[in-house]
Amino acid sequence: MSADEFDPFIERAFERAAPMADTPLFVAGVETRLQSGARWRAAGLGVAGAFGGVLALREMLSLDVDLSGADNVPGVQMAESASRSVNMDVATAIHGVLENWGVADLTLGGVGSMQMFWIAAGALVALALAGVVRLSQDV
Amino acid sequence: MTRSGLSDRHDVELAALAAASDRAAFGELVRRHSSSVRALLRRMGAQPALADDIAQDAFIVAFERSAEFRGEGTFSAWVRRIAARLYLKRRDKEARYVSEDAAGDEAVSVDPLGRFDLDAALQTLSEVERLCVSLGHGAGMTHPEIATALNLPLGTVKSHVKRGLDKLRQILDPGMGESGRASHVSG
Repeated sequence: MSADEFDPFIERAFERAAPMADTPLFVAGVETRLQSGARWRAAGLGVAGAFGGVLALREMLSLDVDLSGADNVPGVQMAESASRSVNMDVATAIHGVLENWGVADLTLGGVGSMQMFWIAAGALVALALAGVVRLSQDV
Repeated sequence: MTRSGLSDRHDVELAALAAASDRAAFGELVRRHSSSVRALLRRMGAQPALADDIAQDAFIVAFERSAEFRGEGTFSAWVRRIAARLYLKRRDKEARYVSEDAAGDEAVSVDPLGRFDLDAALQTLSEVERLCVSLGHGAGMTHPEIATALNLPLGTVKSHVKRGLDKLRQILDPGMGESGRASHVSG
């Protein structure tokens, strides 16, 4: 074998490997880990979505449409009162649902909505950065 | 998609399916290439259980990054490279240093069909030679990459690769002259 043929020969030898008897077991192990990872991701997203949804519903309860600058426009007062009525109906319905879930009186201590938003955003950015760092270290 | 439908697909197609979160397609890739990945790790010196553990990690990383595989090289080589890096990282954590002690002198022969037992041949190399040759020829890393990964001077890595390959070549072709060997070191 010439010198020039030797490197590719060794590379091919590394590429070739006798099939291992426990390959099905190994494949099953990888598939299990992939499924487990997918479940954790789905659970994390579900919890985050539920938490965000509850926060959004809470905010909707305090929703108020301010049309004070357009009191003289014809039809606005009627629209405003209709909107308030719908708003109250929706708020009552949502409140009922939240009560059923036991989170109608959810308080977040002294933390306001915008503060909650920035805390959640900060946590997500930190999580993303940690993921990027870990991935860059892995490979 | 059924497994029989997947078995006819090319690696690049399967990787594209895996990038779209098709776990069955990725399972076919694992089925095809797990042996060479696991064998590489064992050849690099990992115990079988550790080799399998790292090989699984490598395939998980490959699945998460399968969109990055464009088919420039083989899928197997791509995963082997990931696995080799994970193994080196694990070695670093365990603060293991490569030994330059000579390895065994078992006789390794080439069979009448010209096949030789790479695993047995690699056992005749020292640990550091085996690691350098495996990283270069098994994981497709360049000499500077190996030097960085092992924290060794580039010249030292080149020497280990050359000596390791010389030993393998001697096993494969005992009659090969020194000149043929000397001309065969790439950087």
